[in-house]
Amino acid sequence: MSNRFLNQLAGIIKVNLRGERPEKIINLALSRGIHIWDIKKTDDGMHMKVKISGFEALENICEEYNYSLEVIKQEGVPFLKGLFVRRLGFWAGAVIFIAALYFMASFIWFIDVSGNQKVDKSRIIMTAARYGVYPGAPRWTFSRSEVEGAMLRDLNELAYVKIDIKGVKATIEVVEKIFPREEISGPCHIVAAKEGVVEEVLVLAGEAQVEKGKAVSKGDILISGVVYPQKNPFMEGVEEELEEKPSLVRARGQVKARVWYQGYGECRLRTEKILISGKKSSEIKLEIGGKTIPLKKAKIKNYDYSISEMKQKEIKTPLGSVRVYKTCWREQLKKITVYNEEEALSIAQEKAMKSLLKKMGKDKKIVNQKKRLLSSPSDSIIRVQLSVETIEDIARAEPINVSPNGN
Amino acid sequence: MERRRELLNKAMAEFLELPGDLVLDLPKITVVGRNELYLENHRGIIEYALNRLRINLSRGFLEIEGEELQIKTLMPEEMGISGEIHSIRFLD
Repeated sequence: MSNRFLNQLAGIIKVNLRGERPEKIINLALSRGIHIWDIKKTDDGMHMKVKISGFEALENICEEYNYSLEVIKQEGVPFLKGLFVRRLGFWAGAVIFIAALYFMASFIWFIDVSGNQKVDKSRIIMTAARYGVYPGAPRWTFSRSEVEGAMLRDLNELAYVKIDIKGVKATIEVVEKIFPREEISGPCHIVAAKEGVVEEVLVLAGEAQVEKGKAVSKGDILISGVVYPQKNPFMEGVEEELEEKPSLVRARGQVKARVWYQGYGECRLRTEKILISGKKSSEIKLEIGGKTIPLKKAKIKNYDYSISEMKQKEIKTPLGSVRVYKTCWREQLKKITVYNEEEALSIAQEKAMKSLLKKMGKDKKIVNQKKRLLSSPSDSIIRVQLSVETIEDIARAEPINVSPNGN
Repeated sequence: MERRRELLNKAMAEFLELPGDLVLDLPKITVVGRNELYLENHRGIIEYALNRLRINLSRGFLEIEGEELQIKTLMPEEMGISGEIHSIRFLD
């Protein structure tokens, strides 16, 4: 039986048979076991289809009996080869493309660091680069676990490093060590961390140097760690020439003081603000070996004001460096706001409070609060100074530098 | 002699109730609608034109008249014909 699909696989040739009484050839082919189908008589001969395997035999019969045989059409898989050869460039391109894609995908092109807080990102990237993970690094040149281990050894601050490679992007995930706070064990003074007026002194160890009501500035010794032996009150008369050496202690205590903070805020009655509207257009250029190739052109739609920023990225490859320039234009809008005096005052006050809290730090108790208007009523700007008073502990331990000659 | 053997074969086939196309090489024709015709046990093509097709049989020949006749399949024992068939005639 003839099967259309199998015939397609084997290859079909459509021929035109010309000559007197072509039935003879058909009968001969039939008797020789050549499979012929789709026979149709036309004006200039007889069209029929034959398998590739039977074509040669049919040709022989035609030659033998002086019939002319002409190939009209070739179908099926074996003839696809011809198609392949004709489009060799295309197929070669496809193969090169896939190979290039595969080749390029076996490099690291982007590096990202996450999880770092105190350790500088560039330091982590530099350390990774030293062990072979850098943009443009071939993937087969390093082992992930080895780089992780080496990075942990180099960067003491890190407790954990994980390099996650997804495609061409390597993400370095780090976890930093949390060090215990340094405890001063040697002798020390208690000094003022801020300036203020002492309100309360509680000495646990050492000698108090200040008392209530005394104004201190930053760095002043509040409780001294140098303790002089007290004179015996009962031995007043006896003047001992022998001066005893002072002893050094680790001073402990609490010094509460009134501390003032000042904050300043202002607000114009009429403000012009420049806002970014969100519309933007960008231009991307690629520079390879001194040549610039524009990848994307900017479509600037008549922005009245705009801000442009340029980013530059360099990718180092084994074949040279590639630079990518990206310029981005953002549209800006002018916004005019007019406040009346009351509104301006409250805004200025808010700003002043904000700056004040920034200096002061949160969770401190405000004892007293004062507001001062700095601007005159005719000014177009409202200036407010806010000062608050708090009571806080200003004690800070500072070790005493003991010099070799003992002091 | 040949004639006698044929008759004997025919009698045997009838007696044993065997189909003639298997035992006696008789042609078997299947016609589907007016456009398709299958023929088994043929002996080759005598004449083929678009409006007339003559096929050799073991005894005599078959003449098919029609329009746009086309031989769809052709195998040593079997053939399939398509086209608009007007008449099928047995000739000696």
